[in-house]
Amino acid sequence: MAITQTPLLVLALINPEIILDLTLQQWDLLVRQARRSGVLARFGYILKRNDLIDKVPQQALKHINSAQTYAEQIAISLTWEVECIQKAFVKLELPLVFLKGTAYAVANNFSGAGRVFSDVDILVPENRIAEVESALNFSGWKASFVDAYDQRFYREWMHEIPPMQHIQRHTSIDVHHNILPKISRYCPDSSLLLLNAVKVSEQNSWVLAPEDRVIHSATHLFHEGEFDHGFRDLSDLDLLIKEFSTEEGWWDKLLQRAIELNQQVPLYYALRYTTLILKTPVPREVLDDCKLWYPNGIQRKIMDWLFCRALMPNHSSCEDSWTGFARWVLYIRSHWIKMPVRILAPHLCRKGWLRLTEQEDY
Amino acid sequence: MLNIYQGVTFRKVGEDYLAYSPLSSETIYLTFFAYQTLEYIMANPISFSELSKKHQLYFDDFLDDELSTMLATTIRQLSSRGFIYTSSNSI
Amino acid sequence: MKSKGILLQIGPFVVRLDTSIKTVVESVYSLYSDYIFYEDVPSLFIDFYIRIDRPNLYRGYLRSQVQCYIDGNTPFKPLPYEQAFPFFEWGLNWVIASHVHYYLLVHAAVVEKNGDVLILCGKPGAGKSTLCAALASRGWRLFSDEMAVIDLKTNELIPCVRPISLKNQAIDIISEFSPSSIFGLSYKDTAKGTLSHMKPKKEWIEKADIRAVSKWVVFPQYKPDSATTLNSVAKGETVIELAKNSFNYNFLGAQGFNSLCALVDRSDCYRFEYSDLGEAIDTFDKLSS
Repeated sequence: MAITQTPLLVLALINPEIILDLTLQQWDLLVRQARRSGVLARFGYILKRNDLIDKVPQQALKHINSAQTYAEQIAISLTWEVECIQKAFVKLELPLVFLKGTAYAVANNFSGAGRVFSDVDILVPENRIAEVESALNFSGWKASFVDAYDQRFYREWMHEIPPMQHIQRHTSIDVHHNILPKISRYCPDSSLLLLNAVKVSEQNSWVLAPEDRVIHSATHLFHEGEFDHGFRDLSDLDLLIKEFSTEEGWWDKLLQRAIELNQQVPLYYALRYTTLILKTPVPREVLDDCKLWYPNGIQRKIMDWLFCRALMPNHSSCEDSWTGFARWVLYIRSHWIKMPVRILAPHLCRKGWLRLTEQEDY
Repeated sequence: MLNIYQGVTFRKVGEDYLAYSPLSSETIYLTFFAYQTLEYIMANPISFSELSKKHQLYFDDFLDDELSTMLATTIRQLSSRGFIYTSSNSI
Repeated sequence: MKSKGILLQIGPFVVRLDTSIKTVVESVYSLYSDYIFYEDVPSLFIDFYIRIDRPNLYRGYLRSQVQCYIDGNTPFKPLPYEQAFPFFEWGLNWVIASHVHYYLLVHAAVVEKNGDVLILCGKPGAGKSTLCAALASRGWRLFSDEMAVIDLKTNELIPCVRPISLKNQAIDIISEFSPSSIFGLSYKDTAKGTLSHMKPKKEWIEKADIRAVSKWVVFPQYKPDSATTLNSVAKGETVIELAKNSFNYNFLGAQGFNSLCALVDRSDCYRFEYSDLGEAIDTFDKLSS
């Protein structure tokens, strides 16, 4: 099922105490796996939380501190970016709902510590997209250049408009109106997400409700075609679940919510792979209930084989000879489940052509 | 009330005054007036009128209007560049 | 050739280079011959992994290219096969500049005399590498020709001695200026013209652990037929210009700002224009006496 040897990074996240017995050579590998996965800074915070940071040898600690310095500066810059976006939103009288990494940071979730963001993601009602775009334009954000095909692709089929870039700060904002493309088979009703959003500061800063944050993370990861950040996203889920599940009755809320939002399968995957790979503590009954949403035993085994490879840290020491194939299959699958065939086939052909002629990167 | 963002740092280097904001990542020159403004705000959150009064003691050869305008411009610049902010508490 | 792993101490970093390209191995053993080499053992922590190899069948052989991999991935476009060794040098610069945020890194040449450090900061083409190589051939200790490495707590400069990269006419100028200096191969048609590397002196590598503090920050500009002039520059301007030339100032927050201000505060800061290398050396020797 899984690749033959569990990566050091995975073992260390499951049980941080193993670091006490590592050689410097093993530390070197651990740092590289963590850096490549984008969780080196986070790993430092986990060690700190477990009172293990003083046990880290200097040679490795320098690299952890380096990653944390970088991540902390990104986080500080993010608070400024959030303020600038809030200023742009003032006249709209619209809640500013943040998604993904930005949400973890503004809500002070543990999964936000040490996490590096490249874009800010927000969720707005579809019928107010034009106003939001206009307000952002007015405050210095401009649509990044996309050709006519991509414009149509975004605006007609996707759940977000093309990314916008600020002309002075060169920061990027992704404006979503849903968490899945309009054309996808299980696209949820985004007004349900917005209605349930929670305010996290005196200023106009909102995030999805805890159970929705987990479901969105699951939806995003298990519809994703590219797994460069797959392991980090899995780790996000692990930390979010650990943080939120202490609340009484949270598991029932989570399961119920997945049904309301049509995201039973992504949640099944999320709980299956966080427990399988990171040993996230999920009650047996919850896992059994989720399994009912995915009754096909053979298909379950195939997906286990694929995801247990694709979700490993993106480092050569965490791969086997099938990892590349598994990622490729899931890439095709991600487009399949997001788009109807009449759009998928020409879209894949176009992407393939652009990559072959080096107009687009892998 | 005017406040200084956490992490903002400013100092004299040689004959020049410089300031840095980790929020906007800007490193800027300060006039002596702006430097003193930041010093007052750093000591305690302060209102515009209090700040004006403090400046008047030092820059007593300026007219009230001139000083007010200079202060307003300085505050606007420092706010828009991520050094200070206005909070809603009134004391 | 079968892939070879070379482990060595470069400044404060332990670097592992893997390559199956003979000229890379030869150049490393020639230019880095006085450095400390290691065996890959459980008690060794390696900071950076660099691999220089042909990319794949098509690009590697039919288009005769070479690629530089940083721990398995590459952020670079391939280069002509002949530039394999310089690619290692550029790759190492890149990986230090991208990952090392526990030091402040400034794009500058650094030399030292009598415990005082001279930082030469300038745009490409300003002549800082030539000046650096000349000073290093006349009794100044080389810390680095490319990168000032500054300890954020103590503000000391940390030696990170590497072969000095010289371009175009500078190669001939320094060969003449310092006939005893050893040069590696010449690489034509690189992005920066013809390139060669001057081998570091053994004593610089032996003193690799000896740090020092900054005494002078100078912005040199080579200008043909100009007089040798040294003019004071304001400290505020110096801080801002050093920050612009820093690889990681923007990631270090207030620490970076405070460190740079403290360094500039304690230093004499100048703009320097020259055309005569001998006169230039005299100027700095006078400063240091």
